[in-house]
Amino acid sequence: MLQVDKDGMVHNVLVRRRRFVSLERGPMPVVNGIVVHQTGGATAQSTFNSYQQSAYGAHFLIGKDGTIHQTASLYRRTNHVGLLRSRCLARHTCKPADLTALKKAGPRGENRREQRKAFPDRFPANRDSIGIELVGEYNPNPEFGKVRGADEYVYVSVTDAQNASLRWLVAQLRNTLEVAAGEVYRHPAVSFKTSTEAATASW
Amino acid sequence: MVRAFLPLLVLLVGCASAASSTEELPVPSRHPLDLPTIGRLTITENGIGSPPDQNVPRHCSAFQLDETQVRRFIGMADGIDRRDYMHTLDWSPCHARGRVEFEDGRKGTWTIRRFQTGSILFDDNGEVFLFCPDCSWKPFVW
Repeated sequence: MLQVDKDGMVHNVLVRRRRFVSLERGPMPVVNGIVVHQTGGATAQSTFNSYQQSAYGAHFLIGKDGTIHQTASLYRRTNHVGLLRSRCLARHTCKPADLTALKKAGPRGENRREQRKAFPDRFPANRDSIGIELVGEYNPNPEFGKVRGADEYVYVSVTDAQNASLRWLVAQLRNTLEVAAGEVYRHPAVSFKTSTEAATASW
Repeated sequence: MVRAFLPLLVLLVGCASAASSTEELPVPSRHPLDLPTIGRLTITENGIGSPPDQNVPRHCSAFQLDETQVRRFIGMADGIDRRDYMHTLDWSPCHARGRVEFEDGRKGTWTIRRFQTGSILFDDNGEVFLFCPDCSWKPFVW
């Protein structure tokens, strides 16, 4: 179990505290899930630079060498999820009325419907999830122009050091915050994001 | 007493957070596209999804564009940077794709996605990324 101080910061030799108060929004009294992201940048420093002038980011950042940085309080919400996908659509449990409404809804409409639901009828959102960013850029897709439908760019693979740190961090956070094993997600599973983001992350 | 009101407090905080979470979305920086007039344009892929996408099928077959719609989208779109295309804006695996030749002779591959975004990757390795929030007509969704 992690040792967490009154400000929501973790005290552990494996976690470097580098808090960006600008990322923190309102209080987060309950944590129901963990969302794993990739930054889109090649270095931890590029993310730190963006955090200095942005309100969008996550609670943790794991460098390519596996170094874990805590960038926001565990007790505060951060904007890391984006628009929520429909959970019932993903689980094939939608009621007919849901399906009818979702057929007409774009991503914003789908998000509005989801945000009105209580957990676990929706995926974990900004208000009840911890975000973990893995440093990782995207590169030109070698299959673009050769394979039908291939995306223009794809995210790089997560390093072994990052996955080792991610496994440790997810286990500690799940234990400390009482998050169910099934409530840890890659970003594209809960929001409308490129499918290769964090695709090679494992925990 | 405090304990009695705690669930209500949590509910109120949750509602406030829910409301604001829908408002706090990143806004991409947009700039005018300075593209030459489009000459020849072809469609090579229509109504398909990205091969590795493991998410819920989004009925990509319904996303079919004709040549007029492609020309209209490119003509109306603003430019955005690659990061906003790949990372910030909503991503749809559903897309149409084809080749384009501009009147200045530059050629490239265009891609237009269902959530009003797109790209042109030029054969000379140049690239532009497109966002057209005003393209609010079917088969786009927003």
